[in-house]
Amino acid sequence: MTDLDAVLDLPLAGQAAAVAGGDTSPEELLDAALRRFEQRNPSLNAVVETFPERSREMAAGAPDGPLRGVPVVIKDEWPLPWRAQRFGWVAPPAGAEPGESGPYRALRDAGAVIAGVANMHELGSSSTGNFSAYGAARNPWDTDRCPGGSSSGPGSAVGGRLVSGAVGADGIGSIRYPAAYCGVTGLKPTFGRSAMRGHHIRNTTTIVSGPICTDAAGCRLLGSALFGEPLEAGDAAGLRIGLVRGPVTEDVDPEVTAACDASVEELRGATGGSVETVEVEGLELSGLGAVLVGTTEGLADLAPQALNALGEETGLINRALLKYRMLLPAAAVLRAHRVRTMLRRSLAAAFEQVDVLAWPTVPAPAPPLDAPVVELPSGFHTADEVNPRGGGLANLTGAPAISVPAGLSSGNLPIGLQLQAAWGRDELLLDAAEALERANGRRWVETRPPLAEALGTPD
Amino acid sequence: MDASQPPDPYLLEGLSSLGVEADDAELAVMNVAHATYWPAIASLLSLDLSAVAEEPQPDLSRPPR
Repeated sequence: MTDLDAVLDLPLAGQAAAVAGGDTSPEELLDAALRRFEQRNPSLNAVVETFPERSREMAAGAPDGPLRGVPVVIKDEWPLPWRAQRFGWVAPPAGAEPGESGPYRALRDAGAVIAGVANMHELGSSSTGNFSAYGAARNPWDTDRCPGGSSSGPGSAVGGRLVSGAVGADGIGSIRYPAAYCGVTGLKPTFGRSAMRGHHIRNTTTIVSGPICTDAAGCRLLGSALFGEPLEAGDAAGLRIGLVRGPVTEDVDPEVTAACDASVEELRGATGGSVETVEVEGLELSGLGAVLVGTTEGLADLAPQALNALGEETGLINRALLKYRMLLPAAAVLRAHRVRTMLRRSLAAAFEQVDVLAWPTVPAPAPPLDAPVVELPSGFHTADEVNPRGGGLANLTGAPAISVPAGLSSGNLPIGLQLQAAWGRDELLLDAAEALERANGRRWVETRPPLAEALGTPD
Repeated sequence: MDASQPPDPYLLEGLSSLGVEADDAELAVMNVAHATYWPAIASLLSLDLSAVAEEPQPDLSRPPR
């Protein structure tokens, strides 16, 4: 008899192989996943809605695709045929309605089974995930800590091994921050490569869908479904790794610096590559630029009367920030677009010298849920103030980026290393991530949070 | 930034001009956000970016033209 719990603990590729090999069926694996949700989710609040009958229909009708019978969750940012996305809010935002979104179709056609909708930070407005209309999702490594945002539920669900893969969305680091905080792998694809149909911010130039998985091979598999094309494995031999100077590498928690430096050295050694310092002109403007562009793309749907109608069902911080966005000078937003142009050029120049850029995904491990503040060499900062300075570049320029597990802090909290590559080189990021996993013996992708161990397994 | 500081006139005048209402709690949050972001925004506004050549209709899936 198959140990379904052991199958659920496998990475995404292992689960797919178990189903394809007849060790278990899509229906059995789904039921085991739903039992695991019942057991672990009360501590995590990662999954905010399940629909067992719909999921069983998907399992029963799963085509013979690369993810046949594998349970996954999808962020509350994408419509499903039976459910409009709520965006972590009390109700679907303007323009949201049930339907076959691009990510839904990609999952269905690959044979995956959507087992639930994952939590997210209300209106996608924070890197912390500490607020949602459903209640905050929690970090599986310490449930009093932020899971990261805005894809808080996908990060928490994968980190807590409710599932081995989830679909998130990344507008200003929103896949990579939760991946780093929760000790999993998250890919922010090149803009335009992954499925986006059905997203309610139709004019976005920053948001992409992407995979959050326990390992890089899972991101390759789930990413291939979202991209609609196989992300072929290649060779990262001779990888040229670029480091930059500035706040993204220097104003960082020393433990994070040490873990990321060690991982970069392991990656260099594993690939027989090189490390050199490069300059990305204007990098210090990337965080602000991404915030100005990314947070104003939805303003066309906001009118003063709509803002005045916001009640306490919307979180205080979001009520205030939505109103504040109306006051941002148009000249600043236009200048942010000019910064985007400058950064695209300077990034392209950097990628003539190196294959990937590397720096910490976030400057400090997950902060407390009730006070999301981090201590850096420059002092105390809100996580939202400092996270975009390393996470915004990929969204502003359109280039791909990945966060990979790089260690644990002395407080037993995950540390993430971010790698960025040139446009269209998403596959190289996965190759590099897999090379790093091999180099460290998959130490950080195999280490599970105590919560996932202590809560035990379903009968 | 102390959330109890009186709201920056920029906020009060801007909201009033737009006809957007805000209660004291919202103003306190906006005040903190303004104190956090405005110095960087003001710095951006004063930067000379005239040397950055335009990239008309950028294709964000590809390198710049």
